[in-house]
Amino acid sequence: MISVYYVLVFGIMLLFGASIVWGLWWALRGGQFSDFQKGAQSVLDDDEPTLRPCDVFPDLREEYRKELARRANERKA
Amino acid sequence: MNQLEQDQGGWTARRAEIDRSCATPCLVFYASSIFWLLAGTFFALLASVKLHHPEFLADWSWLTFGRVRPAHLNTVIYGWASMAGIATLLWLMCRLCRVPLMYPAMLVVAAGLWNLGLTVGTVGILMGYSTGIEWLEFPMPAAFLLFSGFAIVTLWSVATFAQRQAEHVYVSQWYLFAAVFWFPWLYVTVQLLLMLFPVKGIPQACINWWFAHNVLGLWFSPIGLAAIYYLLPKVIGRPIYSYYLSILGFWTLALFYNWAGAHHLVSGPVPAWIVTASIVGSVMMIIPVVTVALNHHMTLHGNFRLLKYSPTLRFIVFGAMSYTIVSLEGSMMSFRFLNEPFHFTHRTIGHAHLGMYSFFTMTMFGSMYYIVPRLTGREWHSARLIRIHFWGVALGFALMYLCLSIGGVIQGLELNQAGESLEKLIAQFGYLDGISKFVEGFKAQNGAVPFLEIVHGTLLWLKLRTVSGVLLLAGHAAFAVLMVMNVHAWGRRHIGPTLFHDEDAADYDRALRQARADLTPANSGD
Ligand code: HEM
Ligand code: HEM
Repeated sequence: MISVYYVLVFGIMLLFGASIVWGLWWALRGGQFSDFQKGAQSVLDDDEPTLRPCDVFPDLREEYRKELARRANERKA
Repeated sequence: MNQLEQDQGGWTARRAEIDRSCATPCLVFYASSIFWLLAGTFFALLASVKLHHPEFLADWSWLTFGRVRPAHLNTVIYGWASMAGIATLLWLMCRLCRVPLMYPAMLVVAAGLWNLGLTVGTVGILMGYSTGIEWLEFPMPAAFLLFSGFAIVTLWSVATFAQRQAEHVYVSQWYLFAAVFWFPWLYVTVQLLLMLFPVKGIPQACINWWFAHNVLGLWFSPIGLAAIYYLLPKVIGRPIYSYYLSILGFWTLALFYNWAGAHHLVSGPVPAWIVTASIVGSVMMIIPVVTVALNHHMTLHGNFRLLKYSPTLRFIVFGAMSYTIVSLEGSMMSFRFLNEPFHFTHRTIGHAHLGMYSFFTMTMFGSMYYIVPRLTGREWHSARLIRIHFWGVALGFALMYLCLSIGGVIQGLELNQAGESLEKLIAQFGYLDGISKFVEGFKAQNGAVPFLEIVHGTLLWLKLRTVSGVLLLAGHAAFAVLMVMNVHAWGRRHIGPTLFHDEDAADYDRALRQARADLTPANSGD
């Protein structure tokens, strides 16, 4: 019985250890690390970054809108 | 409508469709997590009061300190933190894979099993059936239910990943996917080796702390970091500063964290090389931590003003900064010369809450402020309640951390041959002279301080901790009310921040253009 548990524990350990190595290999081979700029952008959709607030205190909406407009103007200038 | 506008409508609609598909399972997990947060805070306050007034509710065996403390630990860890973490994980996985949530009923069953496990476990602990092993106090049947619930989440994650529409695997996804594999591995191994077929002697402690430490670093931390890496760019509308650093951070965490568990056993009866290896692992952790800290800081750079406007940003920036501090503090705490004097003191509890509260809990609050409106289609109802929540928990936590740290350091020095207790010296010589005599006494190793005097000296700090607990409770109650209001349709529908409808977006753009025109130098006057 003891040995069954040890085989299980070490088996699981090897399996998970190997899965991490496999994950790294898979990512390298699949070009996941080849273009970091694209990777960073991948989380923002084409309509983002946006000048619309996507999260704001309900009572600060107007003020925030002005803040964003100010920043947009600054950027333009 | 031109092509660009059509595409933009397409993206907005796609995100909204994914969010809608997540609503039921994510809200079930979130609602349960808030229930356990309140239950855990209740047990926490009981435990806290009992530390300075041991006679409080002492006549009921099921409310004694030895039961209420593990009830607190397990309800906040497996109830609040894990359930909030799973809901966040489900939503993030769908957003990152760009697919609507599959098999929602299966996930609701998982939430049911998890809640049942928590109820059985908590009642078990209160009735006196705790296993007595820290972080694993739930009796066996509860552990089985938790594991079954989690297995469903892991299988669901694999199925979702396999169906993904996104080509690139974003850094958050690495963290999440790793976490859903790491947790069951840890849990099964520890249940096999400590419960089903318990090893004997020293290895028990090693396995116990290998598990408890990795639950923090390989389960909670990855979910917290995944949420920050996703939400920070979304809220400020700018990609992460260095994607290279973020990937480096993930792989170095995967490499080093698992080594560090035995730093919980410094100077314990464990082979010295195991502890030394864990100290090396703890110091190596500086690499992933600094990469994460640099990256978050530089991404936010120039946008700090937005903290005033965005509840999500406030909470997750608080969490991200705490992650850096708790980890660097942890690396220091693993050194023998610092661990030995302070291990058996309230300092450790201060560090524990800096990690699980200030980092993880705050990050989860921030994530919920962003995610829940997108699930229900409604904005938060009350800005005032959000502020009560933020300031209640921010000030409450700061007070808790300060009093546990100061009280813990004094306690540690007194336990280590300071000669006279600080309390006595202050009463005799006043504050300044008392403190300097105390430090001198410790440096000269003047001898043992009577244990009861040391305990007496901690009372002030423990009472202040109870005060901090009341502030935290107020914050949690405000958040619970906000959630109930949101789910019960008290919030405004269809407006800007949550951007569900094209008309809203168009309204926003029009208003924004107007505001920009008003603010052009010729019109603005400023
Ligand atoms: C590089 C990162 C970290 C290192 C090196 C580290 C180090 C340590 C050490 C040495 C202890 C043991 C203190 C003692 O008992 O004397 C400890 C305890 C603890 N740490 Fe950390 N820590 C790190 C990050 C974290 C994070 C991110 C969290 C939370 C998510 C966390 C939560 C805790 C908790 C809850 C305990 C108390 C465990 C218990 O005694 O029940 N730590 N840490
Ligand atoms: C909701 C988020 C919270 C989380 C995730 C959390 C987590 C934890 C953890 C991990 C421990 C074990 C620490 C260790 O063994 O080193 C602990 C213990 C404790 N916590 Fe919390 N906690 C939370 C909230 C609170 C609150 C609001 C209070 C209020 C006072 C509190 C009071 C305590 C007390 C009294 C202990 C036992 C300390 C001891 O044994 O000396 N916690 N908590």
